[in-house]
Amino acid sequence: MSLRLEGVRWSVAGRSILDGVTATAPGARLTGLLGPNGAGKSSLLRAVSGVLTPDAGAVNLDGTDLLTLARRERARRVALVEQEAAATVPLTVSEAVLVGRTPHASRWGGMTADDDAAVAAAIAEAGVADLADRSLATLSGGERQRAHLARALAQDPQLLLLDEPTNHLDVHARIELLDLLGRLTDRGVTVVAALHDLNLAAAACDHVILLDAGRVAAEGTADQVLRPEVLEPVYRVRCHVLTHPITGRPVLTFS
Amino acid sequence: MTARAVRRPVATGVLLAVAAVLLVVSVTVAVTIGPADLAPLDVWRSVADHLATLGGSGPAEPALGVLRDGIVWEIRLPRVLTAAAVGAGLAVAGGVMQGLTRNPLADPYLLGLSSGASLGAVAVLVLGVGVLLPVAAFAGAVVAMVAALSLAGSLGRLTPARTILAGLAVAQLCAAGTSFVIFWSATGDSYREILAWLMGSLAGADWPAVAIAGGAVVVLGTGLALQGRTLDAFAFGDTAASALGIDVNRTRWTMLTVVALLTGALVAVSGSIGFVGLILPHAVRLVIGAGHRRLLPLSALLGATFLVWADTAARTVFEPRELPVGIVTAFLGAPVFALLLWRRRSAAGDLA
Repeated sequence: MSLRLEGVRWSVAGRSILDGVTATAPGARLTGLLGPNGAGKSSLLRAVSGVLTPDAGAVNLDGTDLLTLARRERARRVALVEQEAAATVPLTVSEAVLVGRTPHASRWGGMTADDDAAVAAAIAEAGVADLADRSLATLSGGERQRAHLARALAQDPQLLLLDEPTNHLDVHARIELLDLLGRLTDRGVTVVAALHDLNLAAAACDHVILLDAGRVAAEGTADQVLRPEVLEPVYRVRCHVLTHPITGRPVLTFS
Repeated sequence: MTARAVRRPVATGVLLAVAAVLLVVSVTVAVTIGPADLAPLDVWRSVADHLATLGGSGPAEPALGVLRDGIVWEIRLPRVLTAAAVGAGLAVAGGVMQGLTRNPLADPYLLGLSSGASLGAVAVLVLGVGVLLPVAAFAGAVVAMVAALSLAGSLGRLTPARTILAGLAVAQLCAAGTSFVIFWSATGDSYREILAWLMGSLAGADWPAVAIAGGAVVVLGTGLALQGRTLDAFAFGDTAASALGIDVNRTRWTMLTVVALLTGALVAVSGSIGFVGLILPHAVRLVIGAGHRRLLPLSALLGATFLVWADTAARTVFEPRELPVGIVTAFLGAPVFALLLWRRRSAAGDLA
C-alpha cells in the first residue's frame, strides 16, 4: 500500500504552502516527513487525510485516488493523529477509541460487535488497556499520545499519518512509540510521520522525504537524505554526520 | 478488556431505566399536587378512562367524577406533559449545542432563538391575533437562527466563537425589538401576558401544546440524541472530525438547524425558559462523563423531570399566585451553575 503524491499544490490567501509535492511513501514502511517549521509538513498530511483539498495534483494510495474518494471511504483507509491532539477532550480512553470507528459506523448506528472487537484490538495494540476508563484529560503526554494512536488504529487504516508524534514525549515514551510504529509496519500498515527530530528519523525511518518551502528538497533512505550537503541549505545550520557505533545508522550533530 | 467494553452499555441501560422510572413517577405525582384531593392512582384511572374513550369503549361517567377528572385530564396532565417535553427538548438542544461548538456555556438560546421567538410572539400578541402565537414564535426563532448563522458564516468560516458572537448580536437586536413593541403598545392585560411569556410559563399548556412540544421532542430530539457518535468525534476538533470522514461544515449546519427548529417549537409553547439547556447536560456530564451517546438520552430524561418539578413549584409555592417557571429555573439553575463552575475550577487546579 504505497502512497504516491504527484504535483500536490495548495495555497491559502495567495500564499503557496504546497508547491508541487511529488514523492512516494513505500508500503508497509515508516516514512519520515522532515523539514523546517513552515515547510508544509502538516499541510501535506492534511491534504493526504482529506482535511484540506489540494488545488492541484494527485494523491494515490496503492493506485486508488484518495482525492476523489468519498470522505468516509477515505477515512476507512487513512487515519491522522494530529500534532498536539486535543488535550481537553473529556471522554474516557475507550470512548475516545470508539470515535475512531466513526467512518465504519452507520449514520444512526450504535455499537456493533465489529466496533467492540476493533476497539479492544486497538486498545491492546496501543498499550492503553490500563487507561481504558480514565479521562483523556487526566493522562500524561505520552499516555495521551498512545490513546490518540489507539483511536487512529480503531479506524483500521492502511495508511497512518502522524504529525509530530514525539513532541512532549520523554526518551522512554519515544522509544515505545517507535517500537509500536515498527509493529504496525510489520503487519502491513504504511506509516508517514512528520518529525522535527532528525536523529529520530535517522534511527527509525525506512524512507525520508525532506520538504523545504512546500517542495521536496530530497527523498530517499535516511543515509541518502540525512547528509550535510542536503540538510545544511534547508535548515541553514552546520551539520556533521557520525555513525552510530552499534546500529551503524547516521547520527547528526548541528552547530 | 472485553468485560470493560461490555460493562459500559449495561450501566448506561440501568441509568436510563432509573431516569425513565423517575420521570414517570414525577409526572404522576406532579399531577396530584395542587388544590384538589388526588391520589397518584387517580391519575392513571383518568388516563385509562380517556384512552378507553379514544378507543370507543369509555365509560359514560368518568371514574373520578367530572370535576376531578377535568382537573387531571384538561388542566394538570397537559401542563405536566408539556413541561416534561420542553425540559427534555431543551436539555438535548443544550447538550448538542455544547458538543457542536465545543463551548461548555452554549445553550439553545445561544443563537438568539428565544429572543427571535419572543419578538414574533410579542408582535402577534400586541396585534391581537392570538391563534398564530406558536406559528409566529416558531417563525421568529427560525428567522433569528438564519440571521445568526448567516452573519457568522459571512464573517468567514463558521467557527464556534463567531457563531456565539453572531447569536449574541441577533439576540440583542431581537430583545430591543421586543422591548420596543412592549413599550409602544402594551396595555394592562397584554403587558402581563407578554411578560409571563417572556419569562417562560407553562400556565396555558393544553393538549395542542403537548402535541407541538412532544412531537418536536420525539422527532427532532430523538434524531439529535442518536447522533452521539458524531458529536463525540466533534470533541476532537474540526480537523480530527474531518479526518474521520465527517463533512464538518455540513454536519454542523444541519444539526444546528435541527436544534433551531426544536427550540423554536419549544419556545412557541413555553416561552423563554432558561438554564435547562445549560444546567442539565453539565450536571449529567459531571456524573457520567461527556460521551454523548449516554449524555444526550440521560439529559433528556432528567431535563424532563427537572422541568416537571420546577413548574410544579412555580404553580404551588406562592399559591394562589403563580410564578413564571423561568424564574424558578433561574433561581435553581444559576446557583447550581455557579457551583459547577467553582467545582470545575478547583478540579482543574488539582490537576495542574
